[in-house]
Amino acid sequence: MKAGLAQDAVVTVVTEFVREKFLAGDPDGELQEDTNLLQLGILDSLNTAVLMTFIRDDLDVVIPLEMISAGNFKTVRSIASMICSSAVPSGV
Amino acid sequence: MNVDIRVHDLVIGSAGRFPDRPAVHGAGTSLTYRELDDRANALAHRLIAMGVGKGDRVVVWSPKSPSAVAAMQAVLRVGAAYVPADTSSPAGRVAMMTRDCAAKAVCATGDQLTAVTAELGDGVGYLDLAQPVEAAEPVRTEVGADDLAYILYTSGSTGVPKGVCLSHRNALAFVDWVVEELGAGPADRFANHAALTFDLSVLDLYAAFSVGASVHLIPAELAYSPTQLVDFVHQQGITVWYSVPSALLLMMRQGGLLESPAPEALRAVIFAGEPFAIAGVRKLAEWTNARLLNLYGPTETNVCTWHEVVPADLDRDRPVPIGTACSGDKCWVDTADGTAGQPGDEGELVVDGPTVMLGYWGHEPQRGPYRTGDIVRILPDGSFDYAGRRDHMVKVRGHRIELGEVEAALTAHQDIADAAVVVVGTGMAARLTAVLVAGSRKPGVLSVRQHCAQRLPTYMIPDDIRFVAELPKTSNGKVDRTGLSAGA
Repeated sequence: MKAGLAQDAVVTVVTEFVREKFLAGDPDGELQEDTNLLQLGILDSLNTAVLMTFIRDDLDVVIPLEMISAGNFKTVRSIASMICSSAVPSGV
Repeated sequence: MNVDIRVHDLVIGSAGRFPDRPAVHGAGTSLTYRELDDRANALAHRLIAMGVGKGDRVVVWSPKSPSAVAAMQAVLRVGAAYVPADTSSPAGRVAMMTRDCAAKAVCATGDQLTAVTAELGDGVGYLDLAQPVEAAEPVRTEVGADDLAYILYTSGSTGVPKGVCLSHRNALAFVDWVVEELGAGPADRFANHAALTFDLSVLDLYAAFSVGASVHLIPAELAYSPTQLVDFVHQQGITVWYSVPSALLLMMRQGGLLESPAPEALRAVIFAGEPFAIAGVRKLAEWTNARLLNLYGPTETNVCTWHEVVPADLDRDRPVPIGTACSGDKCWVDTADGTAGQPGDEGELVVDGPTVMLGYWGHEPQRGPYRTGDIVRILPDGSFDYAGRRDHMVKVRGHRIELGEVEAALTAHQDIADAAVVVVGTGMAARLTAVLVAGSRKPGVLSVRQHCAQRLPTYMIPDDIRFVAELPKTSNGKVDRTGLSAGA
């Protein structure tokens, strides 16, 4: 899942992950692409660790130290953008 | 302790001796001691222009940055006390704290500045931390050793946060002890993992400032990003690491900390805030030759006992001891029959000495020894082993949480009839679980979170929310927390 990560596909993957892991499946379908995950405490310290490990191990993307900022963790959409801009095309 | 030194003199002194050495690094910028000193003076003049002076309070609500650290120094220089607000707190809670301590001004920037201005209106001054600063004359207001230096708000059992008031003497008694114990010097590079609202950051900032060393701020989002945190330790050449054990466990288990050799420069790894499972300590000791120190103390006393890990500790099957008194304090155990404990006894740890707080804001001053509420056991050599709590205060990844405060926030929701909050799991895996009884209609899980987010900092928002028809009770009619915790 390295080269050419499509933003829309990543949004879908991250949304599913957040629903399953942090929102007990989100039975009422409340999570949106622009839901503020930080403000709602969905990405607390534990869940940040779980998410970062998922991005590294399952999506095979290492987010550089410099990209770790509150703005990039705010919503599913901003997380997806951070993943896409961190993913360098393989074979370089 | 030099009796004439105050907390703000640490930066002033180091700016005189080491003006060009790095002082604080973070958020993509770095300030030398001269630059930090200049910025603190410039911000101090702005505070004075707003009418802030000796004896006042100023709230600092900002993500970690050199500019936020400079603002804290500026507040001290005008003779006032700073009140850090959690970056994850909602604006309403920050406004409540500001009113509670009658702060004269709030330092913030960006969205937070807009949000808190909307809450508080014209009643207080606002200092925008992002504004460029101009050169200004030095500011240093004379204050007493027992004057207030900062207020740290902690969770309160009745649903209202409590402001722990700490003096210059309180802070410096600990800082002087730790600087001497570590043999800290200007070449040291301290990591700052904890939030500025958490007293662990007092060591990182002020041990560094007192010797002309540098402090390297770790933003909240980086604090639990495993791989990146390990990269940070190597890239920044950290010599002294201080954090809750959870962060170290995370780096070991998921960040690959142990897979590359320990950095040569790393000479002390310090942990506090919660018990550190012994297996993790063993792994750390195998990995690094750095000193391993376990510090203990509630916010009300900062660090009052300490223990340095020795090889014999690694054979234990429980966390390392919290050790013996430090920072000039005396610590003892009050047993159930009211007598001072002897080796083998268990009881509440009591602390007296220079680090004991002035009191809670708005309450009677603290007089005499402070009762910690922590139960300890006295070991044969007279040192202490942590055994547990007397009340419903819990620690989740180092954050101190009164379950009653979370329950009070939950039951303020119109569709929640009753609530019990328990902690399920331990260490890094600890989760705050809310067990709720719905009212006339069942609220959605995100709407419950939204409701909590308007009242509590995010670390107090339950990780798991589930509904039951009725809360289980014990035979005496109280909520059966033990049963809930085991069954959740």
